[in-house]
Amino acid sequence: MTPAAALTCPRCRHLLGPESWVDAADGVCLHCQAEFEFIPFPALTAERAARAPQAAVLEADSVCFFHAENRAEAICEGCGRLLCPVCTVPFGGRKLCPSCIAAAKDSTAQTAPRNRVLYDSIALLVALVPLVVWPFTLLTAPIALGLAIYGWNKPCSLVRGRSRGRLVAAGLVALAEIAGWATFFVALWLKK
Amino acid sequence: MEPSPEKYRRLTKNNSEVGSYTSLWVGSDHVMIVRSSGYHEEYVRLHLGEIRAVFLTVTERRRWWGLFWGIVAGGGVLPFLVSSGGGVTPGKVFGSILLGLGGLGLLWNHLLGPGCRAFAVTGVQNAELPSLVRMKQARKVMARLHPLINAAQSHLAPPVQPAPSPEPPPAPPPPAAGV
Repeated sequence: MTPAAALTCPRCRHLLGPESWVDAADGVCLHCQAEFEFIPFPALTAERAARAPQAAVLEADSVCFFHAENRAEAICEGCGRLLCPVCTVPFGGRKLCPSCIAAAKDSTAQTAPRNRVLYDSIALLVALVPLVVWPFTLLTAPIALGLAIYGWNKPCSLVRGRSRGRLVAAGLVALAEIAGWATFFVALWLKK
Repeated sequence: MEPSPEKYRRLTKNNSEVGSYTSLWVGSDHVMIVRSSGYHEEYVRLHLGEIRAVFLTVTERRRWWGLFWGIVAGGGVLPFLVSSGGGVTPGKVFGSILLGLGGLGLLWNHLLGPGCRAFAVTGVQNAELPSLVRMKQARKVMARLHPLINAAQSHLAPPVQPAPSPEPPPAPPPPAAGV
């Protein structure tokens, strides 16, 4: 039996029954009448039966590190502890125990972040846009320079890769603006 | 020491939304949806091993863009209709530009093919792939992803058709000769 009944219509979330399929690759939701193409993968039909832990019956049986009453059936690939099926959790292609998952999550947060602030783009924006109304650069130039310095060692976009060209450009524009204002104020002071 | 960054390959161009744009990338073991405002990026990862199916549904996108470009081209025709003289006027020049722009837009919109929405089904969600907005483009991307997903799920059983169409009723027997 295929788990096709667990599929829901992508538009109205209505459960798609076998009667929704026109053929193997096309279907129509009988609830919202949305027609769709369907591309199945092996994971759709893979067996996902939960495994029940077996009680340790012999004294020689290896037992789970976390559940002394359960027979061990796997070894944590992180710390090497013996684990019962309850404690064996597939995580990132490995079988880990709960404590290793907790540790892995911390490192995952660093290697697989959910978002990134693009300081290079912000610095360039703050440096360039106020030039349209140039008096604002008195305020924004130091901010742009600060952002360029602050963002120098910050993580960059995951997909664009590390390029400090924008930060350098923002820093140079900000420095030029600051130099312009400095010249202006010095000239003003000398005039007096 | 910072771990070496994952290398991503682009699957789609940026698709503009209100205030942001989205794109689709593929890494070593996952597909990543990137939503960016230009100053902040958000990442949604779908592991290749967890994608159970992909749905593609047709949308009215091509029709609406066709209407938009039709209006632009129609606006370009107006100066020719209202002007009585045969000379070149600024209105006619502007109309010609609009007409050309609208015509190109209509052609481009037609070549892009019908609009679509794509959803990746995992064990816990139907995740929309927002940068897949045209059927042609979605099929092209799926052609690239299909072998990668199958390879990631190679340890699982081959896909079973979700719901085979009911078998056609058997044909009635031919009438007996001479009856």
